[in-house]
This record gives sequence, C-alpha cells and structure tokens, in this order.
Amino acid sequence: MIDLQHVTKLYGSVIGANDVTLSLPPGAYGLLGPNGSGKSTLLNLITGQLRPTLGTVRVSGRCPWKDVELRRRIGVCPEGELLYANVSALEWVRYLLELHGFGSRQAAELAEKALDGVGLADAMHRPMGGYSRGMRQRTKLAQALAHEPDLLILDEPLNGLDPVARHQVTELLRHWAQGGKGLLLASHVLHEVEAVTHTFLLICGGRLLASGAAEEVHALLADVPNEIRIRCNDARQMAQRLLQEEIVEAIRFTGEEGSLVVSTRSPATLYARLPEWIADTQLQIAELHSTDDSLQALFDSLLRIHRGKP
Amino acid sequence: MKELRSAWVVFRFECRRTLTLPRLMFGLGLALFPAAIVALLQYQGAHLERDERGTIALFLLIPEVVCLMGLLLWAAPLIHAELEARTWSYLAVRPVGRGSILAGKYLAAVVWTIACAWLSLVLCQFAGPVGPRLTWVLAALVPLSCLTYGAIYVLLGVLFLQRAMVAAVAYTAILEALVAWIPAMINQFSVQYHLRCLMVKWMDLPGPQAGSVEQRLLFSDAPAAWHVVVLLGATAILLTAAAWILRRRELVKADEI
Repeated sequence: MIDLQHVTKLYGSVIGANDVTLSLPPGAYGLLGPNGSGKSTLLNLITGQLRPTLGTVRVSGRCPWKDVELRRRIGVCPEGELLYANVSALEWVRYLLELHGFGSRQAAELAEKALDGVGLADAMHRPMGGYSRGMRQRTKLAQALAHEPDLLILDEPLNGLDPVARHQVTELLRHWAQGGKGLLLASHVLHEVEAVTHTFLLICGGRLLASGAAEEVHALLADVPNEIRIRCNDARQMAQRLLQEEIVEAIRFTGEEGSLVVSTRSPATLYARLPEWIADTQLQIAELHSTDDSLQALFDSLLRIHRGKP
Repeated sequence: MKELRSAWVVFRFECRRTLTLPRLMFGLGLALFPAAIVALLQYQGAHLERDERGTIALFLLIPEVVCLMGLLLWAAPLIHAELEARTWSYLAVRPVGRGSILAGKYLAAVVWTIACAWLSLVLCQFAGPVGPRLTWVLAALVPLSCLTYGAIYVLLGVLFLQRAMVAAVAYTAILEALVAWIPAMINQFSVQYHLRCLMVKWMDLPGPQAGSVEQRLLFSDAPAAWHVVVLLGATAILLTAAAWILRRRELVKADEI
C-alpha cells in the first residue's frame, strides 16, 4: 500500500524526514510521535503535497507527487482546523466531492451521508463559523470519508473532541479499519491510536524509530518511567504517602499549589491502588492525568538506541 | 473537459463563498468612488461628453483605479489566503490539477471586479451625463483591464506567496503608474499603455499623428485589434506561467511540517 525508500525531506537546513524506509501492506497503522517529530511531513509526502529531497515515495505503486489520479483513492484529514466561516458543512463537503469528479446531485447525497455518519445531521446546514472545535473536526473527517477512499490518512483527528464524540469517532475508525481498507492515523497520544489499531510506527526527529504491535511498544514503555500529574488539596501529604510505595520512583513538585508529578514504571498498579491511599489519608484529588513526557521519554530512549548509545 | 468542469466548480463555490456583507460593502464603496468624482466635476461645470480631460479622468478612474483596487484585493492573495486559512490542503489532495483551482479562483476575482466596475459606470450615469460612446468604450475596456491585470496579480501571488499584496502594489506603482507614462518604448510593457491606446482609438481622440515625438511614444498608431491581441495574449501567457509554477511549488505552511 505505502512504500517509502530512503526518504529524506529537507526544508532548507531543517530536516523533516530523515532516511525513512518503510513498506506497509494494506491495513491500519498508527503513526505515533511527539509534536514536531515529523509526522505531518511524512503524511504530506504520502499524500503528494511534498516532494522528497532524496528517496522515493510510492502509494499503490504510484508516485503521489506526480499522479493526480491517485488522489481519487485517498481520503485526507489534515491537522489544521480553520474552515470557511460563512459556508455550511454540507456546501463545503459537496464542493470537495464535486472536485473529486462526482456530479452535483451525487455529491450532495454523499456529503449528506458522510456528515450524517459523523453525527452532524442537524448542524450540516449551518455556517461552519458557528461550529465548536469538535464539530469542525467531525466535518473534516466527513470530507475525508465521503468519497469512500481505499486509504484514509488522518492527522490528529481526535483533537478537540469531547469524550462522547471521541468515542463515536474512535468507533467509526475502528469499523473502517475492520473493513479491510487502509488507514494511517497520526497522533501524539498513544491510547488514542491504540483504541483504533494495534500496529504502530514510532517517529521522532524525522526518523522512523520503531514499528510493531502494541505489546512491543508496551514492552518498550515498561523500561521507561511514566509520569503522572496529580493535583490534590495537600501535595506534601500526598507525596509522603506515595513515597512509602516501591513502585514510585520519584516525586517532583511543579510549583503550582497542590500539584505534584509522580514518576513510576508501573502506572497501572499506581492507578489501581490510588483509591486505597486516598481513603487512608482522606486527601481529595481534583485532577489526575498522565503527562506526555512518558511518551517523550520513550522516544528519547529509542533515539538513544537508534544512535547506538547505551 | 474535466479540468474545465473543475474550474467551473471552483468558480461557482468562490462566487458563493465571497458573497459576504463586508465584501459587498467594499464593492459598493469602490463603485461609488468614481461616481463621486464625476459628481464633483459636474458641480465644477465640466462637460464629460465633450471634455477630453473628463474622458481621461473616467478612464483613469474606472478601468484603472476601480479594476486595480478590486483585483489587488481579490486576485493577488488567491493562494496566500487559502494557505493562511489552512484550507489549501483540502483542495490540493483532490484529483484535480492545481491549474483548475487557480483558473476558477481567478475567474471569480475577475467577475467580481468587472461587476464592480460596471456598477461604477452605471452610477456615474446618475452623477453626470457620461455619454453613450464613452460609456460603451469604458464598458469594453473594463473586461480587458480585469483579465490582464488579474493575470499579472495572480502570477505575482504565485511567485511571492507570503508577500503577494506587496509585490502587486510595487508592480502597480512602478510599472503602471510610472513606467506607463515614460515617453519611451519601455512603456509598451505596461497594460495601461495598451488600454490607453485603445481608449484613444475607440474615442477618436487626437492620436499620435497630430502630436509631438513624445506623444507618439505615449500612444500607438497600431490598429485597435493589435492592442486587444497583445492584452489577451499576455493574459494567456501569464496565467499559463502561474499554473506551471503552482503545479511545481510545495505549498505547506511551516507549522504544518
């Protein structure tokens, strides 16, 4: 489906993709990497928006930069979310479908179907300027799906979605992937990708660092400290309690009142036992989330391995 | 055929999308400006039908100022506006040539400006008697002006993506406002020279035969058809060049890489 051979992309002296070689048969893949890691560059190369400085890019055996017809089989949802403010979602998706070669009536039917599919049936006639971030994301997704492409390429499609919409879109993508069509989903959040596919490509600094199944990534993550940010009513008392646990490797105060960051190699155990500790200490937790730093730490480790450092 | 259809789809969508109150108000304001000047001239006792200066004033106001202003705002930033709004990538991943997208957008900008200039001409009729011959001549010069200036601005917009407006203003100030009036052969490279010559021919104004050497360099004795061919030929060449460049450019914003 996608074949990249020693692809390098330079923007002047800045490197966007660094000697990337990969060959992906049809299926669903998650492209995982921190912000600025080169995910969008790679997607732009695959969709024919960029020309590689070195190497070759082939999609279904054809060059996406030169072969305009190839785009008929690809659906793309870019990361940017600014849309035409005074145009309705229906008009916009219909317009893009007409550019895809569909007749006016068929384009309208397909646009309605796609917008209905992403839960925008009621709002599709309203100007997009009044849409929430989540609605704009769903509109973008609809335009990528509307022409029923063979390969769907999505750049951070779950950004800005509320939990319900996130679930709906995840389900939609999962069904898409199960249908046997191609999917390349770029994200910087591991669990977002994991909810859709179990095959990952890990990219950082423009380099493809690793690829494989979810278990392999988790095995890599097992050796990397995960950071969890906790905001509670008494950070120092919470720290005192956490330090008694062997699974906790380090604790750091962020400077923000009631906030601390816990470093652990067993986040699942920590999450499971946290209610018990809260009950012991009568502490109140206002916020609990994993920082992106854990994923960054994984990428840092992979980069070190990639460079041959211990 | 497919390319033509795509250009038509883009043109239709652009016309609809740009139908906003601010743009309509701006268009009306632009159309009213020459009418206000005509009213002032009329108030001062000028007879536009007979007065050569009035004819030149209307030529400078409608096929020049109104058309240039409209195109400066609507044709020069065609691609830059899409990139800024991050909407370009949705168009660029469709199986249509970039040339079709450019053609559709260019036509929409030209049609908007022609409509604005013709409205201005109609409003001028209310401000003072312009005369049927002058009206028809100006009405014929407007599309020629819009097509050619539009093509120049589109090419500048494709060449200088981030500074499309600056490049267009610089071009207008240097070539169309300055070089066009230099009594030397270099003025033939300006659009205004050809429009001016057409104006003189079609209005039967005193031409180069009657004037000095300088006047002969400011006007041409070539037939009107020659100037029309030059303007339309230049339009075709400039648009082809713009489409060729656009097809080869990588249009991705720095924060999208």
